[in-house]
Amino acid sequence: MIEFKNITKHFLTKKNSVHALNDVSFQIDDGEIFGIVGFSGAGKSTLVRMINGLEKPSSGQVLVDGNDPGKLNKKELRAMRKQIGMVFQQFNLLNSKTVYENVAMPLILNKEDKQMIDKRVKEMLAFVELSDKLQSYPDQLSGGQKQRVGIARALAMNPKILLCDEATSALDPKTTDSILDLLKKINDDLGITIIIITHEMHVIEKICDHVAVMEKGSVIETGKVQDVFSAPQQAITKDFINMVVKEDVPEGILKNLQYSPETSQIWSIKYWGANQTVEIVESLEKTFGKNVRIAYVTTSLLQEHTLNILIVLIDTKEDIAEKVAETMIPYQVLLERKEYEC
Amino acid sequence: MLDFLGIGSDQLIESLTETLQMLVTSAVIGAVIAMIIALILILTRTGGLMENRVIFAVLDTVTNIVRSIPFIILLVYIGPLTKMIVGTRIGTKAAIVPLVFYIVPMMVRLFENSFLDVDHGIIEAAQAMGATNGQIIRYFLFPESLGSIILSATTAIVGLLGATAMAGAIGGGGIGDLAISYGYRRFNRPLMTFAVIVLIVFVQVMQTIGNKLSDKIRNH
Repeated sequence: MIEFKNITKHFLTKKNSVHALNDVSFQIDDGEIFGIVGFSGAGKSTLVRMINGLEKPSSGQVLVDGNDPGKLNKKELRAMRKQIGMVFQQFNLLNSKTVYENVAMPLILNKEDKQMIDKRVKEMLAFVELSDKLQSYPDQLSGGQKQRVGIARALAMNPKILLCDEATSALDPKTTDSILDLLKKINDDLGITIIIITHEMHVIEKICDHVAVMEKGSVIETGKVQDVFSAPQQAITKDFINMVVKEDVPEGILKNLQYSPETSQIWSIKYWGANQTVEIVESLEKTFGKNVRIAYVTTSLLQEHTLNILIVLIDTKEDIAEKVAETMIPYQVLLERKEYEC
Repeated sequence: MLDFLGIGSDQLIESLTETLQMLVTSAVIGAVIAMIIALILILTRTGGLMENRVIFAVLDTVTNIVRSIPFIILLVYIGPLTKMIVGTRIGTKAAIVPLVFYIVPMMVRLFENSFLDVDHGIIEAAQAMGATNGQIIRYFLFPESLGSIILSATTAIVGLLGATAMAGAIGGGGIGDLAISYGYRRFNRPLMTFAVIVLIVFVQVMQTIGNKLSDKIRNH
């Protein structure tokens, strides 16, 4: 288990002190895939580097299985780092060494014997499906292949924790998905705890169990991915979620429906599970007659769960909040009245 | 065969030997010293693996000071020190000391740049793997900058060849001295021309070897 306890960090520049992290506390359980999302400069990288002691908190404490990397001596810290793999956005492979030598590096540093290194390197390269590239050099590989080498290298020492610092941010969407599948496989097959920093909500949506949303050095929202996605509390979280789950009606659609705030109300209905658009609309029509119009419907898959969003226009001036809520009771939905300026 | 040069071939061979002796000895000694200083500078600089402002400032300043002295002045100025080290102030052996003083600061700056060109991310990856500072230098910093270091060394050695021509001032001999003493002072234009051609060939050969080696390392 990894615990962050009241972490703050400020960097001293010549003119002033910059607050990179502000009283950050949360924990990451063993065996999960934990995503940390935020725009660049939010403090994600600094926070994650505290797990393997590359950064030290100005105050507060990080505990990795009960050990505080900030309190270890150099030798103990090096031993701990060998138990934590790290993957980087720019791969950080040695260009002067072959794929084989790159993956072997952590084992060489640990002074393992040659036979063991050979066996382990080949095993890891088979795992990341690069057995045919043993003698290639990094500059002969594609971005996705380089990241696979980076992952194989990070796994060579059989770590308990894998840190991914924007591991897919330099890759195209298709390659991103293949790397995410690989990370998922690592988590499933090897039971390694994975911590992913990203600014792409797609990464969170696709493989993360828990998520922490960061802004300006603070964690502003944290929880299970499903919960955060279905009921985001903070504006910035909503912005991020909007990147993958469109829950706002594009203005053009409202215009085409000749929506006007004076004559219509917009209701957003969110629910998990099988799509029940037809049933919900029929129920609404039973209550409000022909005044119900569908504006927008989306269905997204978060992990194995389906999130449905249905947005309807109800043409009435009356206060119908209670009536709508009552009608929706059988469907267990999250109901919200939306306001748009048109 | 070399009659038109107005000197004997034994004299020519002697000069060539002297130049090579000065060049190779000072290049090797200089490169070793410069490599050590450059590594210390890289380690102790702000943000380095063993940040230390005092050591960095001292080495950095001394490097700049020695670099500021023109070679012809360095040659005679450090005479007493030369005598302490090699036992004489004149001759080929004596010229090696100032040549080392001349080449070390230049190589330090060039090697330092080569090391600085290594992506910081690679060093960070090494740290994340739990590498010791010694391992970082051996397995990461050095192999990643080797191609660039060879080019840096080539540039420095070409500069060093130019400096050996001045060694005649303290009786160091060599091709440059031959061109001045026997060519210039005796109005022997063919000899001067010959010396220039020899120097051009020297530079061409060294640069070609340097480029080839560096290319081989960079492109595997």
